[in-house]
Amino acid sequence: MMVGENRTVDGEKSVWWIVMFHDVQLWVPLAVFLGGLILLRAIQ
Amino acid sequence: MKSIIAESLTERSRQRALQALGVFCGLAAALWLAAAEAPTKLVTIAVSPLVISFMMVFGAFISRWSLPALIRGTSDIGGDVRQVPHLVVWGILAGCLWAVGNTLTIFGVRDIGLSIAFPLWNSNSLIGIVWGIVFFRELRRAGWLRWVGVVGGAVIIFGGALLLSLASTSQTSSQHPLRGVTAALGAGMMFGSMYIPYRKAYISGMNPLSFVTFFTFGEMGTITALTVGFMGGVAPLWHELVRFHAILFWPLLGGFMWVVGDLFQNFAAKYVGISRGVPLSNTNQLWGLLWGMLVFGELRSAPRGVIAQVVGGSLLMAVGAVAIAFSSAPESEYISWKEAAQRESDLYQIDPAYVAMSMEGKERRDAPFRRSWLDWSLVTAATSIFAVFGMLAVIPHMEFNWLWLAGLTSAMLVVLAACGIMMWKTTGFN
Repeated sequence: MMVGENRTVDGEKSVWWIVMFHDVQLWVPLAVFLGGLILLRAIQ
Repeated sequence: MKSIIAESLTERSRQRALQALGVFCGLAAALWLAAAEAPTKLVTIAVSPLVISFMMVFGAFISRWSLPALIRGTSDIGGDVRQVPHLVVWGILAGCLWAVGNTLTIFGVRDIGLSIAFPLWNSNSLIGIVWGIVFFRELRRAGWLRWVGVVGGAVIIFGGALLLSLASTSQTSSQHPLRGVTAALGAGMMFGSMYIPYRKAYISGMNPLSFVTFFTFGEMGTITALTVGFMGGVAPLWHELVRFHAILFWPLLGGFMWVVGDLFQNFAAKYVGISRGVPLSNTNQLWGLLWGMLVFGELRSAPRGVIAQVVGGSLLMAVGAVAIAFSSAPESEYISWKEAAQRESDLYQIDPAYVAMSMEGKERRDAPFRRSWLDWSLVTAATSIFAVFGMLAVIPHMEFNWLWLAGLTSAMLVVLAACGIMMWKTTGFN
């Protein structure tokens, strides 16, 4: 399967939909990253 | 469970070989990650922390493409992207986390010194253990003894970190010890959460050498944005870079050393998991203490009580890390790891054979890899950049102990050679 081709799960959701809305393993590090930016701004 | 992943890595001898390799990689990572932070001492001669961080990341950016090209060639990267394109997102995010964490470490070093800040941001091992258990089924079915070893070790590490923070806030000559402690602990949170993408990538089958090439776009992009934002534009950054052009080589070299250590850490995370691999590489705190005290003379005028707290706290952290490291994964825990890998394979429709071969650390291609003109171009370009900055470099006006500097550098090179040979023989850098 080539890059950019819509990989679907059970023919329904694309991989990228899964990434953005279905995988908490993205949300947690993303939230930590945003918190880190706020901390940097505060101590700089 | 589909049979290919379930049936992978069943030979206990292969498990032990990969575990031993993972342990050695973690320890090798420690030496190189500690040395990479040494150039951050430039903050003591009034070089902006943001400039140091920027140049360190630039050095890492150059190295993260050229080292994989040198080791295995870049053709593997295309293969990994075709199999697991979604992991590019996690690679970039991990780089973003690293960039923020690295910048926080520099503020920490500025306010409370390397030998104290270092152990504090190594609280990232506790964070990594939690994420490993929560997200990747590490320690599941491991038995109570392993839980005691890992969780007990984590508690000891935390106790050591507390002891160090008490020493820093009570005795530091800095006007902002609390700021320094906060920065160092914040860095720990960044690095600890960065391991989520690491582990996710490796149980999905991606080669660490591929992962770091996407990681570096996240780190370079983020550090550039941070530096330009905090300095008020490109012009002030350029002005600072020109002003300090004679010492830019040192953080650049620090970035290269970071990449070497980080690659070892990535392979440790692959073969023993983040709950074990990260504490192992966090024995860098002891090497950081040696760099700070022996090479840079930190804490030499501190009261005995403070030195005892720093040394005691660091040793506690090291004891905790060793306890964790020697709680090796039993056969039953490997089943849990395979379940985590199966989740990724099911969720993202990844070829189970691709995942299984990766877990075994085995070659996935039929023909031996060849380096292309692109690979040699990358290596040549990277070497040239380092050479140019090296020709401009002067040794900064700081106090060093040259004997200890030579000794620690020699140790790093010996470990690099030994671990590199073991990796090649066991996995061919897969």
